[in-house]
Amino acid sequence: MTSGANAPRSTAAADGASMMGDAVRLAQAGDLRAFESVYRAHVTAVYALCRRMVGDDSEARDLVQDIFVRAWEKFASFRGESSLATWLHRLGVNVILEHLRTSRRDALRFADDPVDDVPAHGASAAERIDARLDLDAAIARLPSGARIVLVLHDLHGYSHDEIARLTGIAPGTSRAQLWRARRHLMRMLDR
Amino acid sequence: MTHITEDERQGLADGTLDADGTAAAVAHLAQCDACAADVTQLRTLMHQLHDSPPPSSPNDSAIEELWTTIRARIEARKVVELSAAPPTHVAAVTRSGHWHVWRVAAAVVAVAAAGVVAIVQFHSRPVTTAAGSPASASPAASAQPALLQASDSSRAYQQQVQQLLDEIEMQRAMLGPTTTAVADSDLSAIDQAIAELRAALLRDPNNAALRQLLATSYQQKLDLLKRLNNAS
Repeated sequence: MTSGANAPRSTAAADGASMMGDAVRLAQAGDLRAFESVYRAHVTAVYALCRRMVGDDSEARDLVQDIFVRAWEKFASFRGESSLATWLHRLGVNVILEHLRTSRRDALRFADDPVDDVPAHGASAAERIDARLDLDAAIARLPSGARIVLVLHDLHGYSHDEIARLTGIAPGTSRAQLWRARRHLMRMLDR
Repeated sequence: MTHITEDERQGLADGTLDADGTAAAVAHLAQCDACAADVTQLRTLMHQLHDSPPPSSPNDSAIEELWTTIRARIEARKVVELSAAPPTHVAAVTRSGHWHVWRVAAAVVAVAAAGVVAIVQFHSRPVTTAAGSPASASPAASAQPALLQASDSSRAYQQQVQQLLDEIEMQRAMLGPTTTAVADSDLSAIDQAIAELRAALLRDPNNAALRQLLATSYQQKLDLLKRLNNAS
């Protein structure tokens, strides 16, 4: 019974992967309808990345557009060495960081502030209540530099060396920003 | 009592502290409630971050809206590339010499062919022509409305092209075999692009973007022939 139940699922999964592979190949050849399939399969993950990195819904939606337009332009360079999700994720991180560099001059300010510089009561009582209910709300309220490092390191598994390469800061600065972000989150979450 | 450092606390919480450091820090935690409580809180945060669901995704209509905008941006770029690039490049390089005219022409044709094929594939989706869109802002569209009309009937175009081809044929010997071969190849490519556009227009006669692309392709071929004629 188990194998009987699994077989159709496996076949369906294989069919799904094959269809997506076809869509990728067609999109790489310039087929916009196929690219739409790629968009629909990955837009949720791309949006989540944007939303957490910038902390704002409207800005995140604009970035989703930028990322998929960029993906279309660069799709020929996708060789399948990583998964499409990984390729889109890395492309997305680069687009987001570029956007932050140009649109918010202080967004990527990674000052070497000591961790205990974070105000003891960085959030109001109301903010603490909201944040307790919604971790994302707390992440959105982090200083942008600290938020970017926290999202990349703790949510997406980037090393400090990788973050340093992407953002242009030193690995030690990335580490300090991460600690700062965690401490700030703990205070907002009233721990 | 000396407490463990911030580095050690954070490293214990996320597991990045090395083995020796971990052993020493754990020994300290066994004797220090303050440090132990702090590390526990950090670990709880780590778990919460690890287990947190992604932010709620946009609803279906927002996803649809986003795609509409993305598609429009992608299609707009195709039209801009096709209609805006050729005249600038041809004019700029023509000053450098005859042979270069054909090299640039080859690039123009490559862009045109790529754009044509892509647009033809999506001919059922009219390109946005709202204010500020490439279709309405295109130099070809604004500067040559008469060409748009003449192109579809193709009679005036065919007459001009034939006249230029006749003149070029008479002077072909002056161009040299390499230039002639490249010229023939490029003309063949641009003719193929025009044929594809005409076929697409037969299937979708009201597609304004296709009409504009066809007009632009005709103009590109005329420009190319005129320049070759002048060069020879």
